[in-house]
Order: sequence, then structure tokens, then C-alpha cells
Amino acid sequence: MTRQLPFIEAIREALREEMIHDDKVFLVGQDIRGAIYPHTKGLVDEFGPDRVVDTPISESGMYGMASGAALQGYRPVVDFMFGGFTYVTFSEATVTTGQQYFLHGSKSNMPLVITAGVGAGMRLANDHSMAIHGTFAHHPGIKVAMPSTPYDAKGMFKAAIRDNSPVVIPWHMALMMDKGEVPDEDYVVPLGKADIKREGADVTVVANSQQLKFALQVAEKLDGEISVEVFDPRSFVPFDMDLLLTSLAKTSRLVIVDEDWESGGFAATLSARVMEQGFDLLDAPVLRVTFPNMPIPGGVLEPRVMPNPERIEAAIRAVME
Amino acid sequence: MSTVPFLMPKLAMAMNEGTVTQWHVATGDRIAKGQEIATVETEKVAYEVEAPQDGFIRIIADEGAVVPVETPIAFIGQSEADLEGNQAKVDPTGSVTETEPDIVMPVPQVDALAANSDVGRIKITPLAKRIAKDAGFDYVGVKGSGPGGRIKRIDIETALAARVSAPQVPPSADVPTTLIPVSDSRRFIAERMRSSLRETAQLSANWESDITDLLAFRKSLVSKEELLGARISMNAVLAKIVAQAALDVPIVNAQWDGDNIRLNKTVNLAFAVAVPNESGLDSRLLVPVIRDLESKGLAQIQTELDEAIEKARAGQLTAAEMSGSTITFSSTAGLAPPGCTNTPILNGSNATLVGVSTAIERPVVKDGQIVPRTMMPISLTFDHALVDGEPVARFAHALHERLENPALLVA
Repeated sequence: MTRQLPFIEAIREALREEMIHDDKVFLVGQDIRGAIYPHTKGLVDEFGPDRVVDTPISESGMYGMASGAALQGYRPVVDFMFGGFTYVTFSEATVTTGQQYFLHGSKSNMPLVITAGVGAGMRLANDHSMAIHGTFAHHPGIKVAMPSTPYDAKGMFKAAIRDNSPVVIPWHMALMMDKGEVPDEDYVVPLGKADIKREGADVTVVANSQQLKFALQVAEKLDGEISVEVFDPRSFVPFDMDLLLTSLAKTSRLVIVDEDWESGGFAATLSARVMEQGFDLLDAPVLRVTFPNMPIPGGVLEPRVMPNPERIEAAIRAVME
Repeated sequence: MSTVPFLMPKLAMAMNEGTVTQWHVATGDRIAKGQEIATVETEKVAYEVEAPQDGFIRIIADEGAVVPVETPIAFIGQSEADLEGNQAKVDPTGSVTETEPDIVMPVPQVDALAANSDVGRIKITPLAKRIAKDAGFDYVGVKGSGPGGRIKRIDIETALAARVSAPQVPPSADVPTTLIPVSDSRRFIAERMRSSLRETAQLSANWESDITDLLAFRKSLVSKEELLGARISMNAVLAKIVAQAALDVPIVNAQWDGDNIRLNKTVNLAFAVAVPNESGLDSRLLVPVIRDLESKGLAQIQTELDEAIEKARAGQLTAAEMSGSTITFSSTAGLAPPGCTNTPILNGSNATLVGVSTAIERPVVKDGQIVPRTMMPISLTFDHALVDGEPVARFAHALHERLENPALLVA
């Protein structure tokens, strides 16, 4: 059986079920007991203050506690509220966390989850709008994933919590109240598996979260004119390159939409990999739709610089030339 | 700027590469604008290339090198010092000098596909390139429909679909064979023939005309060889008759020209000449053009025909001498069996081709009597897209009347 659940409620179900499933799982963050975002709503009542921990506004302290707990066999879910705040504890969250397992002879698991609300479109500006998936994907030893639907959200959060590696799994704030089918029964969406959200024959558009919604809108608009395949990577690390190359073998054109900065982002990495591994599949240069390299503005300026349906459509038309 | 690259010229639309067969100057020589500095050979012609400006030359393509068109074969500098500065650029051990950044210094490539400079570079997507490679297809010359003329998959697929593949029957092991390398000229002819069939709605009409009187007429001209200064051949007579008939029905002497149909006011007759190919094992077809036939007498036509045939055999026909035809004439008379009819393939942009073959003796009813007459088989090919059946019938009739009544030659 399935039900219609809002995206944020699907995350809450994943957290709750995993806390029931494994008493080593606990949540740590700021104001998560009061539930500024509803994915932690009521959990402190069910699991008590030891498993739903509020800390002072000190990301480094909060994260240091969680990573120590992970080394002791706990499975903390660290909630940064906004993705931009992960940068406060950047060295611990990237270098130390990602390389722990390797530097300690593959004997030291780090079963830790980092989550945060991310994304543009709410006119919050700067570190309240920026993406973190590309930055974390740059660092070895960390899995990075981001769900686009309620179904994926629940299944991927469960997979992240059960994983013995550190997993960064931000969620896009613009999707918070989007509804979708979610099964009653237990399931996971394995990390590293992409999903074709719409089949097409002329061009593959890689997009995730809010941008996936935009890509699907554009695909629908162009239906009958250009057949657009919409590819949701779901995981950035590990990335499902096999499925992307399979898609490109069919379409031979690629547009990568990434709600991140143009320079050094995941779109750039993916573009390079496609050139390396799928050069012969390409009938047009790969195009990216990203933020320009400027601070994300708030207010009326934001929609003018963020990736949006118009820019996605323009990129699709350009690779079709 | 003091040094300019001297490029392999593109002498014809279908020319993709050329061979520098001979340099008439050496590196370091002072050259003058207009001076013939090299002989370049293409699929069909040898061409003398001229210096585009005064200066000093440095040669980078050796004699015998096959070079893609628009690729440098030499550099011309205003002074010897210029060339020395340029020399440093091509020295493989030296790094690129900072002076004269305007000079692109591609190494001449035998394989145009490997050329990787802006000069002569072919833009093609990786996918299109792979498809071409897998199909063993040479994409040089394929027109790209992508941005900046980039060749895309669709362009290669279209070109492949258009390529009428020769039957690929593998020779069985016990059949002795000789492999003839496909020469440039054979490739060129093949493409011309295939594109002719691909791009026109051509068909052929066949009939016989009584040339008994025409043969006698020609014989009388031969007896006056000394006076005429030429031994008039049947080909010269037939060429003149084709020209006269073409003027009777001008549309057969027309051609496509973009949004127009160009009606040619003069008759430039392409004359097919077969010569042995380089291998000696197959032949090649050259088509010199005899111009303004309508205003020329038989003796002059004969002289020009003789000259064209001689040049064709010597490989000395220039591109100019083989372009600008408005109608084609071909003959297998004397080679094919008597009475042989054909469906010749149209040549270039010509709308009409008149083919003749070996005449045959037949009993013919003439003035109520059965008499032996010499009949020439005529095969008239025309592009039905450009010429309707009615004018073609009139043209055929005009030809027939003129063949059977030599007196009309002077009318």
C-alpha cells in the first residue's frame, strides 16, 4: 500500500523508522526538538532528549560530538538546518570525516549522516541558499545524495542512515511540501542508483531536486518537438555512470542542470567524465545550466541568476542545433 | 604581418586534396606575383599554381605530398629574414616563438582527419566521427549542418544512406584476383555517377537514324582534307549536329541554377574521352569541353577535338578545360556491337546527353523499296525534372532530321 505524503514528512518517517529500527541512531542539531522544519517534529516526545539532541549554535562543537559518537558505534544524523552552515565545520566534515576510514586502515567506520535544507528559489540569499553536494562530492570518502521525490526521500534517508560511510544528504527546501506516493512497508533506495524520471530520445537532461521539476516541465513543454530524457542522478557519490552512458548512447546529447556555481561544481566533474568515458557518444558539446560564479542574491535578483526552465530550454535547443 | 601561408588551392568543388607534383622554385628563392611556382595535381587535372604576391618562399610540402585543400604548402615572406623567423616556429625542438603570433603553423597532413589546426580543420562531433570510422567512410567534404558547419551524426548518416554501396561480395578463396587500389579519379567518377543518378530524374530514349547520306557527306569532307586543314571525323560532324539540334530546342541546353533554370545561349559540348587509368587495369573518363559549337565550323571543331583528346591522354587537361559544359556527347561507335543502345548517365549539371554507338546495316523501306541503309543507334538521356517529354521529343526529332539530311548542316 502507498499513501500520498509530503516530501518533508517522508524524511520524518525515515528518521523515525530508523530510530525504531536501531537504537544507535540519534539526531543532533539546533532547534530540532522544537522542529523548525517538520522532519523532526514530535520525535523528541517519542524518543526522548538523549536521542534528539539540541546544541548551542556551534556547528563545530555539534559536529565534533557527532563524529566522535560515530567512531564509538553510534549512527548520528547531524542536522545543519541550512547547508551553508556546514562550512563552519568544514575541515572536520570533509577532510577528517571523509578520510577517517582510509587513514585508519579500513578499520574505523564512520556511520554518520549530514543533512540540511538547501537550495535557491526561496529568496533567502547567500549561505541560506547555496548548494553543498558539489563541495562534499569533491572530497573522497563521503557519499553524497539528494532526493527529488517523497519516495526517494524516505528510501534514500533510510539507506543513508544504514550506511557505514559518512553520507551527506541535503534536501531541497522548495520541495518541502511536494506530495508523492510513499509505500507503507519498509524499503530503501540504494545510494548510487540513478533514476530516469522521464524517457526521451533526443537529449538527456541531468537534473535533481527542484531543477528536476523544472526539467520535467520543460520536457513536457517540448513534447512532440524534442524528446527529452530526464535523468535524476539521486546520488552524486557514488554516481551511476553506467545508466548515464546508456542514456547517452540513445540520445547522444547532454545538458547538465546543477543548482550550484559553475566553477568546479558537480556539473563540471560530470561533464569531464562524460568526455572521458563517453566521448564517442556525443553528437554535440555538453552544456551546463548553473549559477554564475557570484553570491546568490536574495529578493528579486535571485530568479534572474538561478537555473530555471527558460535556461534549461535554451540549453536543450542549443545542443539540438 | 610579414609571412603568409600559401595554401593548397581548391580547384573544383569536389576537390578535397591535391598532390604537389613539382616545385618550380626552391626554398629561399625570390618569387614574383603571377610566377608559376608549382604543379599541383588533383583527381583529374594538373594545374600550375601561381605566386599570389612577391616575396621569398619557404616550401613545407615535399614533392609528391598529398595535402588537403586550404592547407599550407609553403610560406611566403617579404624578406628572407621573415622566413627565418618563421623557420623557428616549425622547428620541432624549439618552442613557439613569441613573435608573429598571427602565423598558424600546421604540419601538412596526408590524412586530413588528423589535421588539428584552424587551417583545413574539419569540425565533426565525436559520435559522427566514430560512425564514419566504423563505416569506413571518408567524411572529408561532407557538409556539416551543426553550428559553424560542424558535421553531426545526421550528416554522416545521410551521406552513408546516399552512398550506393558497391556489392560487397568477398572473393572466394579459390578465385584468383587482382586488387586494384581505388584511385582518386575512380573515386571521383564513382561519386559523380552516383550523384547523377541520385539527384536527377533521368531516363533515356533510343532510336535509330539513317546516316547513310551523312557518312557519304563526311567522306566527301575527308577527300578535301588538305583544303580544310583537318581530317573531319564523324565525331566532329555529330558534335555540330547535336549543337544545331540543341539550338532548335533550347531547353535541352539548360541547367538548374538555384531558384532559376539557366538557359544557355551557347552550346558548350562536353565530350567524353576514356583513357587508361594509372593502374593500367581500369580506365578513367575525362570530359573536355568544346565551347561555342554553334559558331564554329567543322574544321575548327575537329582541330579542337584532336587537341582535347591529345591533352586528355597526356593528362594535361586543366580544370577550366573540363568545366562549363551545357550538354554532353558520348560515343561508343566502333567499340560496341552494331546497333547497341544504351542508357548513358547524365554528366555534371547537364540536362541532356546524346549518346551514339556503332551503326548497323538494315533493310529499310525507302520510297516503296527495300534498300540496305546504315542506321546509327542514338541513346538520348535527359533529366525529366528539368525537361518535359514534349521538348525532348522535338529535340529527338530535330536530331533525327539533321542526321538523315546532311544538307541541313549548312542551313
